[in-house]
Amino acid sequence: MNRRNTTLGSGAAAVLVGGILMLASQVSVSGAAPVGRAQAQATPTPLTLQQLSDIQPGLGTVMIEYGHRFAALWFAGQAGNWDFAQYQLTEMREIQEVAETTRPARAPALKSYESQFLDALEDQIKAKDKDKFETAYNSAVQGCNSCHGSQTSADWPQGFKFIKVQVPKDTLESVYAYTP
Amino acid sequence: MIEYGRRFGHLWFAEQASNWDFAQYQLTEMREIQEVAETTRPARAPALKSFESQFLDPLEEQIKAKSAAQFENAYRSAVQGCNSCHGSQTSADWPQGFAFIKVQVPTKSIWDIYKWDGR
Repeated sequence: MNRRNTTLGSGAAAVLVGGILMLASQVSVSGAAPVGRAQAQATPTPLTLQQLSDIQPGLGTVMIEYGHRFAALWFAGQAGNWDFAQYQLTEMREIQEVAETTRPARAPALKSYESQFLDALEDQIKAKDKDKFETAYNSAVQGCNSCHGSQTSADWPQGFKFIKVQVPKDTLESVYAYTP
Repeated sequence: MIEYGRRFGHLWFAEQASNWDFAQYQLTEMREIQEVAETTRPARAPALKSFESQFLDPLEEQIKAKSAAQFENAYRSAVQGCNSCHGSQTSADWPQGFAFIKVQVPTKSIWDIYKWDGR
């Protein structure tokens, strides 16, 4: 995992507690596994805090879930399933908190996106206003692409504008606009 | 649940293609990923374990028997089990439950598993 931009802060400690719990579970689960069920060699425990920090998801991994939920948000809105739309939006807020913790240098951009676009989407979900929801969604799509273009890294000093999203057409995956 | 739903969708298409090993793989991975949630959300563990024994075990039996017709029956039962569980689980944000998250037998892609209108 790429360690750039990582900081072990209090938020990361909370994530690590979860990691420790998961590892503890793995030990007991392995012991209870049925005979004949192939088990990969488990990582020896205990792992160091650094190792636990290293295996936390970075922004790229978080963005897979973020994009999935963003697309699901569209289809839920199109179907008038406002509870499902609200659920997806709430989960988007939650998963971005993971990236704000593991990649703190990205936190300002993520928080800015949230207040500019997710808040506006939530307003229209609560109002159950499909037209205004679609307008807010289109703005959020532009917000995604603008953010991708403005963020840089050592590997991508020119930014990530090649990651272009769009209003999905027929499937969740169609949220990606593959043509530059 | 994103991974769980994804693998549940794959499970259907693997069986449709009679790729029983792939079906077994998806089912095993479903068992494994639900263990993560049983640990991080222990209050959900009884419901998850109940789903596993009620629906994943019968699916595994039909995978091992390579019985397409009975697998499909077990899969449809599991779909109902998913939706029933969603409706019965609650949270502080969702005291009315999660009945709005409806799944179905997928038709063309794994993500057809979502029934967007929730009905």
